[in-house]
Amino acid sequence: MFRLALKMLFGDGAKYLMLVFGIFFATFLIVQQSAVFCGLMRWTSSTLRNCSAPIYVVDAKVEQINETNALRDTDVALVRSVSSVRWAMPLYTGIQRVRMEDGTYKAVQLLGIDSATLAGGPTRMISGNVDDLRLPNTVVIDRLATERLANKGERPIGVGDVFEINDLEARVVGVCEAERSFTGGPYIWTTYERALQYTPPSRKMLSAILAAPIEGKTIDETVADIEAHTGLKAYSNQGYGTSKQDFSEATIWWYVRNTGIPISFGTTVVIGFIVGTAIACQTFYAFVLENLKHLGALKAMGMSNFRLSLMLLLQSFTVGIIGFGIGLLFTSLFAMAALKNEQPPFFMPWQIPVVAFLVIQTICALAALLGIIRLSLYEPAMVFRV
Amino acid sequence: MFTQIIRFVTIVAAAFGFYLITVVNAKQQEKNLQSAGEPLKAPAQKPYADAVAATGLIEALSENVAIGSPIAGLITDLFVTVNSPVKKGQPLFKLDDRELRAEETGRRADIEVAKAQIAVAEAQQAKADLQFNRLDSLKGTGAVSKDVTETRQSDAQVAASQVLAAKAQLVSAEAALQRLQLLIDRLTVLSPRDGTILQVNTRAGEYAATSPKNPAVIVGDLNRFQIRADVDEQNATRIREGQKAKAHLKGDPKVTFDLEFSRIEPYVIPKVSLTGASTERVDTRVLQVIYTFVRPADAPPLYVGQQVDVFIEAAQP
Amino acid sequence: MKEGQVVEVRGVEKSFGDGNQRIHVLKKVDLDARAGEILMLVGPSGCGKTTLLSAIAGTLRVEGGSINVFGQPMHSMSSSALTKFRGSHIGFIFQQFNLIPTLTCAENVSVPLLIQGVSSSKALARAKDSLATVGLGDRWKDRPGKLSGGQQQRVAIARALVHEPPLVICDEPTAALDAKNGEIVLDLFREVARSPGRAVIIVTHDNRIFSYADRIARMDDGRMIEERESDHSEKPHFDHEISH
Repeated sequence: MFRLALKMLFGDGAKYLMLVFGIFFATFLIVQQSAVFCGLMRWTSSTLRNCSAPIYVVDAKVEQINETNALRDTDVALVRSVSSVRWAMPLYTGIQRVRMEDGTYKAVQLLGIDSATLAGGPTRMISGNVDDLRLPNTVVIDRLATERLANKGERPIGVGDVFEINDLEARVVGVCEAERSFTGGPYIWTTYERALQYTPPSRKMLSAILAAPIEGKTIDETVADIEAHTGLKAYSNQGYGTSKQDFSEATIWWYVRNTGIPISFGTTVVIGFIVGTAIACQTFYAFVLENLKHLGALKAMGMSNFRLSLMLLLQSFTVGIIGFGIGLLFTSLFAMAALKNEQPPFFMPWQIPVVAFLVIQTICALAALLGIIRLSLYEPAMVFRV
Repeated sequence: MFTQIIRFVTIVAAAFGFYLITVVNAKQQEKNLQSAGEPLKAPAQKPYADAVAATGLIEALSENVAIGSPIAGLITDLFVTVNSPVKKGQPLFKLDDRELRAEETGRRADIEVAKAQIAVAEAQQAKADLQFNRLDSLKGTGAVSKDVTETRQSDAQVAASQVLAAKAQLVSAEAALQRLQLLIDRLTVLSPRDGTILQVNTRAGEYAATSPKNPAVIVGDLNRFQIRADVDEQNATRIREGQKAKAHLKGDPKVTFDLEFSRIEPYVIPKVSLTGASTERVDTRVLQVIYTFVRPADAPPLYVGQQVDVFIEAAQP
Repeated sequence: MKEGQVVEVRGVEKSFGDGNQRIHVLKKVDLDARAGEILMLVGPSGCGKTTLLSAIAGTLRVEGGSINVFGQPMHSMSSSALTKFRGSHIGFIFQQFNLIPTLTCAENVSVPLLIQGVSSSKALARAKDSLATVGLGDRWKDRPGKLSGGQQQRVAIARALVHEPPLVICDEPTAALDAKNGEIVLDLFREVARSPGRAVIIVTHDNRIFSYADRIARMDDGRMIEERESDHSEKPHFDHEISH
């Protein structure tokens, strides 16, 4: 009987397509928009992954990585003096301008890391050597910078090329992989001391302190120790285990609270849900209504309500799964283009498709439920009345 | 037929969609940057469970002596180069002394003039003595009046005084010459102690100013070093006399020295940033703790002025 | 119940609506149907014959009286038992055929078997046999939409018979058919009733087909006004002679 239920579903090509389209539309909007939103939010904390360390120590009032209050240089020693800290290194982050040969300026994310240990240095090099950062006037750039900083129409820059940051020479000694920044500027690594030279001087220049816990202490315990002993704010960094005081989470929440981004994306997701639900329920209900006479006949011929309900559920879930699959197909195509170009932002945690699947199947169950209610109201005797 | 095509296409598309999303997921995982485990070069290990960290600067043990110029002037000779050992009293450099030398010549002429004047005065004295003695021998003869004799006597006395005055003149001229020579000597700057030339900030022919900020030469003792550690004032309460400490060379955390406590500077000063930036930045006030150490035989050469990370064993805060 | 008695309706009452609007559709109706005969329930529109048929088929609850079908008290069975009973004992033929347009004829015919839980391949084989008995053995792959009205009704008959029900209920089976197809269908009914001895109850107001009845029960205004044996002599009102 269930095979026949499927044949009934597929038999009506136009209705079936309409149903699948509704579900596809909802799926695509929900999954794609959620993933773009997650991608954009992930961009906000990309510094934390590009400049990787278990603990970030920042000024007490700092809530997110892209807006730091400068610390005093001696705070490095202060953090280092906390017993549960194994090491602590200075970090400079800031947006600086690179002058191109044709006189135009490009904004870059400048990262100044400790010159001795290179803590927070790039983790995946494409060419060149990070150790060369100890040479004078050297920088390591990310792959985006190779094109962004190249002159118009010329080949991408690479190891050995030279450009200027705030009128000071910067020689490229390495190219690495890095995540995109929220501002869109490429990441450029140099040593902390040189970063200060590249940056117009101000009273305090230290953006953050990278730190690690000693063996036998968890990141959370060390974070608490640092805060208790220094009066600074310490955050754990994602990728070193989850924690309650995670910097990227704090950063993302800051953007959620302070920008309209989540509302605009949330609206699209909700619209996708509503439109998808409307199309799916409406079409499925019409499908049930059209077949009511036949379904009623089945009821008269001795088919139980339960079995009829199962048939309707089977039909709607089939549509749900196929529509969802097609939605995923289009999302994937979009994702592949996005991942290749690194734009627009795209990041899809496994939770997104799983939750979307549940949402879509809920829509389908709702549609089936409407049909089931309508059918159970239909007395089999009505089949005798034309 | 039409419905079959639709069914086939949609099911295949859906299956492909499920497959592709796993591909996307894998691609995304692959793009994910791995968290860096440890910094590329192992950071300095803390030698003590509870330690106060500080940044320090290597100094020569006796402290570095910045040699200045006594007066502003042109440097004519530089007798030492960087790294050359010097003994106490050894000349370091010489300032232009031509002006004083010129004056010296005048002074020497003055001496000759004084000497000549002594001769003149002595001749006059001899003449006056002679005249007086001749009259004096006629005393009592009545050949000369008493009056004349007395006049001659006083003439002889004046002449004697003039000789004395001329001699004093010579002494004065000689003293003036001596003073000049001392001034000339002063233009040759001598090393105040045994040591090594750490820095030479000037060249022969340059103009040396008397500014204390810009010493011409720095002399220090390179055999023993001391480390001046800047402890953040917030950590100052954890510092006690006699605490053990270890230092790592900045840039090479593997090189470690055992330090020996020397003293605590009782005056807390504004920290002069050691980051090497072009502008000095005063960030905070620091307590300076002085440690001495002897360079281990297997250690790389050390230089005065090098930065070190210092860990001082400290009480729990 | 007498020998061969299949359906025994006694004093059945049924009304629709409330208060002043209440309409008594069935007023103490009695009816009997026996195996091996075609019983025609006739009467003007709105006389209650379809309601009575629904009650006999077990798709409608009555308010008074008793309906026994094969000894089962239809008026007092639970609705799930009733559903099961319908599926196993009664074959349905509807005025509009009610064939599912997206399924093939064989699949349509196999539905009652599938409802009873027969496996799909077995059901399809028996459906093909059943189609063959109504003369459409070669059309099993076609969708109902491709068939003429008469052919569709024959498919419906095949469906009604595929699970060998002892009682077949037909609601205006010829209303949507032309004369020629009506004849073919009624000939089929005659065979259905005679071979293994089924009871066939046909509701109709088509007086052309009265001659096919073994017995005729005439209703008006919710009452049974006449119940008599048919002598098969009532002249068929078809426009042309039936050829056997």
